[in-house]
Amino acid sequence: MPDQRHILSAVEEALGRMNALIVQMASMAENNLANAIRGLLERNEDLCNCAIADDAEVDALEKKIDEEGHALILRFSPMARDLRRVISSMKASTALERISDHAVSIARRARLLNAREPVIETGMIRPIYELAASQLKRAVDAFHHGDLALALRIVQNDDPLDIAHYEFIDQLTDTIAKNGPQASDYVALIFITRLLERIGDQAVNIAEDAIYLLTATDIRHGGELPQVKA
Amino acid sequence: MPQNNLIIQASEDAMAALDRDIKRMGEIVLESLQLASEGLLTRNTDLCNKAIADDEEVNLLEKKVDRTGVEIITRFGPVAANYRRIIASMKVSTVLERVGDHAVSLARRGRKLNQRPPIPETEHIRQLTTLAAAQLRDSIAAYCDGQLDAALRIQARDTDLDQAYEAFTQRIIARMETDSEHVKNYVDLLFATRFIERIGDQSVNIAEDTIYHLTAMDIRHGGALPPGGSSQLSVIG
Repeated sequence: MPDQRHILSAVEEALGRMNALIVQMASMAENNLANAIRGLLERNEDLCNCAIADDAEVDALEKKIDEEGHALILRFSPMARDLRRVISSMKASTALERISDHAVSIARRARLLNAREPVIETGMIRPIYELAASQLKRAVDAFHHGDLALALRIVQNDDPLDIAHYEFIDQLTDTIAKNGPQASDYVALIFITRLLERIGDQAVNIAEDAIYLLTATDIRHGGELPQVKA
Repeated sequence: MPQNNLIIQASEDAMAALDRDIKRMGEIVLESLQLASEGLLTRNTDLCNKAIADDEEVNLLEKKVDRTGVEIITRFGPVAANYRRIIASMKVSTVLERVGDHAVSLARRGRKLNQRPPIPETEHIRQLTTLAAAQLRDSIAAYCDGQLDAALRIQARDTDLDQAYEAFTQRIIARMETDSEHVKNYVDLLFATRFIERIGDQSVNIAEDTIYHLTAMDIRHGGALPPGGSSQLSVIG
């Protein structure tokens, strides 16, 4: 008969490894996003290229997390919260991979913008980036530390980013009407704004994964929220 | 042993339910994509509204597939192809839910465009939707019917859609430079075409999940096919 304690610690160890991979993946995705935005705001081609090149490592981690997850499920048949941790880690890694993809798309648009005359509106990207980046950081923290209250706050409050994104796109649309020859620059900024808003949505997905992990409740698509104990 | 047979039957029933739900999700999102694009092309806001309203069922099915998948893993401890089918179902359902979201976004842009005077460039959406819908239909069929060859062909087809998308985007930007009166329309069209292009990417994701289910190979992000290329890939248990 296999030693029960030995199996338990092997599961713990495998779960711990998955968690470490998620943390590593999150910090790389955040870093790629930061590089893409700095590349845009500082007109720094090297930083854009860095964000594009580093994405391959995030991709590799997504596959690694899936591999670890499958091995864990098939070897140990985890139950309840352990199984939810594996499933939600696999989902969170998909969200992080998308976020890094969006960072690459931002970096590519930034390269186009950097090759042309600067446009003054580019600076307006900064506050929108800050909203998205802070939402992402908090979602990763909530997932990693198992902070239910924080995860719930993220899910219930992604409006500021939404509003800022709509307002800026409207403003850029008006600017195009007045300044046609620079339309392609403004279109690049419109898409970058949209990508940042999508990153915020992916952060909400990660918070939802954290809530599923912690409470076994699937709150997606307006599902009922779990009660937080005071 | 009758007890064993009952367990096998229960597990097979649950797997069949998973397949049915994925198939249903596929049918709805394909229809929503058609409704949204027809609504936009024929300026029929009722069709746009139907695409928006129908999305609710897709959302519920996504959650149901996850619930069923986790339940099968917990109760029956499936292995090999059965295990991979559950994981692939959960991934495909996430993708289909996002396709549904993109159909909704397309419908919302359609509603906006329908409120303003028509512009001729809208017509180009037709070609893009035709490409995307065919690709989506075939990737869903490849998944549901377990067709490896069809799944392997999706990626190459997506290149055509990407090129059509790129060409259309450039054309719209060129129009924006001179036709300041219709800039709002052009921005809506840019987003509309972007959603369609994303649906093409999502068909590729479904094809990748199909290949994982059938062969246990994870070919995402340029993962290598076996030496000798796709002809060496074989379906395994």
